[in-house]
Order: sequence, then C-alpha cells, then structure tokens
Amino acid sequence: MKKRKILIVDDELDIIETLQFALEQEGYTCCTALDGAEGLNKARTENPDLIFLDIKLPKMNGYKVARLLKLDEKYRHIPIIILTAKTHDADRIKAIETGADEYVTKPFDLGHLLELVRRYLMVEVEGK
Amino acid sequence: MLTQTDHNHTQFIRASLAALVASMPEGCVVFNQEGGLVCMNRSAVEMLGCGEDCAQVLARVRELIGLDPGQVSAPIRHEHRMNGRLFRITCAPMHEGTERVGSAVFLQDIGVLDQVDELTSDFVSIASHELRNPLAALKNALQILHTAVPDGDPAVFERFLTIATRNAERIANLITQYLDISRIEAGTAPCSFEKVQLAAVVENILPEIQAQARAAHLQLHTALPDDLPPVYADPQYLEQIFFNLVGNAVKFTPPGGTITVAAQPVADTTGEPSEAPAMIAVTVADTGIGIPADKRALIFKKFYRLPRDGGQAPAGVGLGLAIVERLVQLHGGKITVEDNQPSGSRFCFTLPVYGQDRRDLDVRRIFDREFHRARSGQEHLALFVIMLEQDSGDEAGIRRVLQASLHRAKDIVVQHREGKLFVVFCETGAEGARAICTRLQERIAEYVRQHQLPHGYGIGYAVYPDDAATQRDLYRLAASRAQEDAHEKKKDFNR
Repeated sequence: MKKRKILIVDDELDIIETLQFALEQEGYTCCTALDGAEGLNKARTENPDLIFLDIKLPKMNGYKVARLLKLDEKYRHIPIIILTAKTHDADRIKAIETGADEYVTKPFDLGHLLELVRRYLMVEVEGK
Repeated sequence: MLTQTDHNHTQFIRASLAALVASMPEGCVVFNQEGGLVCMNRSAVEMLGCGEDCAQVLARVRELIGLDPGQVSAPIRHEHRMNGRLFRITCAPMHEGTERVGSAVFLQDIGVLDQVDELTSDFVSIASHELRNPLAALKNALQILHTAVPDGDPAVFERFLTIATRNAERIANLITQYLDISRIEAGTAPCSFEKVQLAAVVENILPEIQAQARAAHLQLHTALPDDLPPVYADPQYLEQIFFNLVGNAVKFTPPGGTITVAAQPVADTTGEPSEAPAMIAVTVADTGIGIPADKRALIFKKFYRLPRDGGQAPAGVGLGLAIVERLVQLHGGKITVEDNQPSGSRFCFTLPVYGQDRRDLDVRRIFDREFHRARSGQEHLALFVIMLEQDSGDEAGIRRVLQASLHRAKDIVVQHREGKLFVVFCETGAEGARAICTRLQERIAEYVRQHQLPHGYGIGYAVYPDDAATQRDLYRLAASRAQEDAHEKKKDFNR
C-alpha cells in the first residue's frame, strides 16, 4: 500500500521536527511548510492525505489557509487538524467555522495525535 | 453687518480650515444639519471606500456608527474592522452657540488587525500562548525519548535531548523576562541608583559581549570619551540594557558586520518636572538588516518580534526591547531608534548626568513609574504640587503634615528642589482628589497658623486622565494651579 502523506504547516522548527519524527516512526511520509502561503501551495501540489495546520503563521494565517482549501472542490476532502497555542473558545469557533476538522491545542499528547491521524485516514479509506 | 475686513477674515478662516482638513492623516467628513455633505478629505474617501457621493457617504457612515449622524447628540466612538485593519470612528455634533449646525465624523486608522489584536490582548494570555509552543516541543521531544529511543540510535537520543533542553531554556528565559518586566511595570523592581562611570560598566560586560560578537563573526567597537561625566543609574540595570541591545544587534547583523557602542553628553530635552539636567546619550549601532520605518513604533511593545526572512518563527520572546525601554524610562531617559548609515539600526538612549539635583531625578523617576502604572492599568492618578516660598521655614514639618493627611499606603510624598516643592501622588479620580485637596489645604493652613509661619504657599492638583492625558501636561497643570493658589492666598493675606 502506498504510504500516506501528511503535511505539517508550522513556523516552529522544533515542533515540525518532533512531529515529523513521530509520524515517520508510524510509517507516514511528511512534507512541511514554515508559513501559510507555502502551506497552501504544498497542500495543492503535494497531494497530502491530512494536514496539520498552525494558526499563527507568517504570510497567511491558518484560518485563511483552511478556508481556501475547504472552499475548493478539489481539496475540501483533505482532513485538516488545527494545531495551535490559541486556547480561547472564540479561536476554536473561528477555526471550526472555516471548515477545519479538528482543533487541538498545544501542548498536545503525541499518542493522542497519532490516534487521531489513524482515525481520519481509516475513515477516509472506508469511505472510498 | 459684515465689514470688508470681517469678510476677508472669514474667507481666510474658511481657506485655512479647508487646507487643514485636506492635509489631516485622519479621515474627516462634515455633514450639515440636513444631512448634506459639507466637506470630506482624501483620507476619508480612501477609508470609507464608497466614493464621494453624498447619499452613499451618509449611508456608509450610518452603517458604521449604527445611527444617522444628525441624531448623535454627544460624541460617540466606535471601532470597526475594514479590509483587515482596525479603524476608530468618532462622530460628534457641531454647534454654533446653542444651535445645532451639523455633525463631524473622524476616522482613524489604528493599524493592521493582527498586530492590534496581539499587542492589546491581555498580557497573561499572550504569555501563556508564548509558553505553549516551546512546551509542546519539549513534551514531544520527551515523549519521543521515552518511547522511541530505548532500543535505538544514540544520535536520535542526542537530537531530541538537544531539542528538549533548548525548549526548556526558552521557557525559563520567557518566565524570567516576564517577571522582570512585570516587576518594572508594577514599580516593585528593586533599584539602587548611584554615581556610575559608563566606561566601567561597559568594561565589566565587555568580555561577554565580545564573545557573543565573535561567535557571530562580528566586530565590536566601543567609543566612550575619557572625560565622560558619570551618570546617575543602577549599574545592574545598565548592564541589562547593554546586554539586550548588543544581543539584538548580534541577532540582526549578518557575519562580517560591526557593532559600535558609543556615548556623548547632550542637553536634556525631556522637560518637566526637573530643571533640565544634562544627559548622556548612549548609542548602540549595527550594520545589520535594519528596522523598517513602519515597524519602529512597534519594536518596544511587549511580545512584538520582527518577522524573519525565510518564514521561520522569530527568535527570542519579544520582551528584550520592551524591558530596555522601561529600564531607560526608570532612569529618567528616553530611547529612540533610527537608521544607521549606510545600513543597520542605531539605538540611542539617554541617562541623566550625576550631580544634578538628585531629588529632581527621584521625583521624575517616581513620576514616570506612577504615571506609567496609571496609564497601563487605566487607573486614575492625582498629582498634587505644593509650592512653598523661599522663607516658609519648616519644610520638614510640612512634609510630616502631608504624610499625616494621606491615608493609603500607596500615596507617595516626594520633596524636591531644596525642599521648596512637594509632589504627592494618589491613585484617585477627580472626586477623591478634590477631597484630598480640601484636607491638605485645611491641615497645612492649621499648621502654618499654629507655627506662625509665613503664608507663602500654594496647592494645586491635576488628575490623569480627566485633566491631562500626558505626563508633561499633568505636571504643568498641577504646578500652574499651585502657583495660582499661592497668588490667591497672598492677595487674601494682604487684604
């Protein structure tokens, strides 16, 4: 079976590095982006199966990236898991309104995150 | 009837007004009482973005303030988001005598929304937000070390241990700086001001900042004249100011560049309340990437960080310069930043020369602190000035009277200029200030009568923000009221 690909969009290198390592240990491949514009671009060109998306990003914030992807027929099926340090309810609501699938606040539990990935990618396989 | 001169004068006023409105950076729209458009400047056209047609402008304004401008009976203010920016819209009625003649609308661009949101949010919530990123990285690294490494590769172990350590340090650093700035702002930072030779302070930290510069392949030069007068400062805070400024310069200067630390005496320009002591201007200049002009006002704000090339999150916690600015203010100085020629930035801060009237400096320091506290906490601050004339005699006695008349631990009495001027700070609004003023008048009058002292004194006060919005105006107002009061008292006495 083809390896599932996950896009990580975050401007914190250490978060990318640890998350990427953990995901690769589980057999996924990863691609990464350090800002919103690059993230949007890679979401369209790299064909990821799932996206981890930070909100506070240079160039374009995560809300906008999520909204643009979810408004687009071609990409709206890709699950988006928001991964953010913003903990206010207002931010959560704003993120869900963009169409993002999950909202996880930092710091998170890696095990829980991997479980979430498994669930989303499984559902998608069954759905096909 | 209007004479020719009156007519010319009216024309002149009309022309000046039109020029004034046209050149304002704020948007300005004026409606007459019938809702007709009287004038509108370029900025307003741009901000409203609906052309110059009267009906459309009126409709747009109505939409923004939620009311017909003609119905506004007292000034109202709204904040509104348009095109990713935040605008403040003020609408006020205009009167000629008692007759309502129209309404004026002002539009002010407060800034890019993201920045406004970030910089005005609650400090604690930003701090916790800033802590969450390194905490997430630390937690991830530890979880990986825990689960993935036991049977694995020492290089992997090393890699995630490094990440864990780096992020733990980042958290510790953030907490230290957070505490530093909170203490300074709360006015509880311990300070011991003394006579300090700048050269000695720089000498003291030179090995460390030299090492930093060398590690980044930069040259560090110092240019402190031998005959530089000593300053009145806290040496520990001075060191911190230098560390932060030089550290910043190192961070934003590419290899091969130069950092220069220099100092020279300048005249004081900071004004009241002291009598213009000479200052020393210290500069830290670099040949780095510089600061865009539109970011200069932001860099001293808490948690503001300049974006870095390459999209990566900016380094540091965004408190270094905020701390520097507050420390400089604590010394009664000012800090500015400008372009360095041909490239880079030049930070310049001032420090008071030692040997001036030190009590003046203490008053200024306390005033700065109290004013800043009131402004950032959005609290009231009443400033009382008690002026004594030359030979009023018993200053120490009057000081005791003042202290005995104030009931709260937070009220502060400061004496300066050879004991001839007292300054009292109270955290109270207009009501409270009036009561305190009455009490002070009574007690001092009684004391003066009992001790048969000359009657040359006056008391005046002003309340922030009710009477004045700036520190300087607050002081001036209180001082001029004290002078007036002294004048009145003398008149009464002579009568």
